[in-house]
Amino acid sequence: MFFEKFVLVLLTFIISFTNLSAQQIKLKPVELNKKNKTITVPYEIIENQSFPFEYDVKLYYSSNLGESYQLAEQVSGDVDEYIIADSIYSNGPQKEIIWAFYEEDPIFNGQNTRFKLDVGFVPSVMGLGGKEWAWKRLYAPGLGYHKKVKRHEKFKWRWVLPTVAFYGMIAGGIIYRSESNNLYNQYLESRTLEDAQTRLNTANNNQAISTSLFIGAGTLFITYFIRTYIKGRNNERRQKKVIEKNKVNTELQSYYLPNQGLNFGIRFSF
Amino acid sequence: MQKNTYTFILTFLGLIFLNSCELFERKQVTLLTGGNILEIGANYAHVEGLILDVDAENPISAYGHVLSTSPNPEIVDSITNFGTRSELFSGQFVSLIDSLETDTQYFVRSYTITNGNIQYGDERSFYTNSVEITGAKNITTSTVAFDGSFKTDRNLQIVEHGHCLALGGVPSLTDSNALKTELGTPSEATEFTSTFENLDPGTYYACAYLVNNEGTVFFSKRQIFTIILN
Repeated sequence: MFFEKFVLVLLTFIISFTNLSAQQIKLKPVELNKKNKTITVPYEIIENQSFPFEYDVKLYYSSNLGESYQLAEQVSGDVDEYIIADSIYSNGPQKEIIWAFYEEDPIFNGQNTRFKLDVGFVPSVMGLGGKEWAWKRLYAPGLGYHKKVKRHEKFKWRWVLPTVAFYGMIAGGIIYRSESNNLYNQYLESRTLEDAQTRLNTANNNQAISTSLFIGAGTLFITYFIRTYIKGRNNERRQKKVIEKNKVNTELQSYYLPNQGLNFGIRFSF
Repeated sequence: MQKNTYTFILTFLGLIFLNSCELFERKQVTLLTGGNILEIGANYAHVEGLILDVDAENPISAYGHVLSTSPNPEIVDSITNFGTRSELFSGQFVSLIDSLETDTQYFVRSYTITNGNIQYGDERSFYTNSVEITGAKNITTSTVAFDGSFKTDRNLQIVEHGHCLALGGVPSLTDSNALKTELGTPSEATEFTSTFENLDPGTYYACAYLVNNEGTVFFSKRQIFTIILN
């Protein structure tokens, strides 16, 4: 008796879409599993970006026609962090959340029910490089960090800046060091006190500038090496989590009830 | 790690630590130059040396001039020694060398000794007694005249010459009380004459002098004469 009423309520719901410029979350009819006392919420992630995202999906339900919502905690499947639409490491864009409503709320009867998805998303680490890029792009500081282990740069040539700065400082350091050497040699050949003092002072100034530039280049180099290494290592760790999470999902079984749908409101948060 | 990665790192570290012992300041060293020969007499010379810089961590243990009648005088030859020095001060020092042979060519170099290492300045050479004075003549109660001559075989490059006179002391070109004739650059003649007038009574010292294009002053032997009040 309970489930008959519940199904009637469900049939009045309408499938809805939520559209963002970069991604679309396309909802599909929900399915009720009477035997397991679960509701399966299928949805599809459509990505229009050139790179993938990771989604943090939360399912909320309302029992008062959407006046207030509660977080559904007894959920499994493509929910919570690390959800990707990738076809290699996951089932692809077709997703589903299985809500064990009876465990969540034993007196839940399906009346006046609304569902809401709260979806946060960030650029995915999938496809990004690991810590080895700290070594592989030593010759161009910034290239490994801005092009290999990091994504979603607003300015795609940003890696050029640290590389140019690095080689510029090296070149400047060499030029000033050479000038310092020339002046020092002239100092050694001085014939007047004024020449000796002027040349040594100028040689010292150039030496200080040269060393400062070398230290600056070294600092930039080491900074980008460490940043690339740490970001790459974090990528690897997060990738493991993503793969692990989505691998689990591929093993899930779902039970669909045809011709049933629920109405969803979907909110994206960043 | 790849081989070229090692190469890159080593090259970079090499650049960073290039001259790492002189990261911000170059090493100060003891610098010496020859200086000028200030004054040459018949049997003496005043020779300048110039210390341009002193390595404070390695003070100079001895400095001065070495002198010889042969080129490239060494520390074993005649020397002057001004002792130790750890700071620059003005840098200039002057050796007053006497008891030289007349009409002799000498070679002189400044030197410093630091930690047992001898550093020499540029070599200079000079002749003693390049100019001569002939005894006072035509002495009256207020006038006197001298003759002088200089050697032509010494490439003196004279820009000034004449006689210098001082009452009761050694004549000097820088003494404002001294009297001197300034005959300018000499012509082809190697002999010259100076006449002094309106002299006060007293004992005078007189000498002939030359100045070359480097500012070196050549003095002859001194002559003494007395003007007596009539």
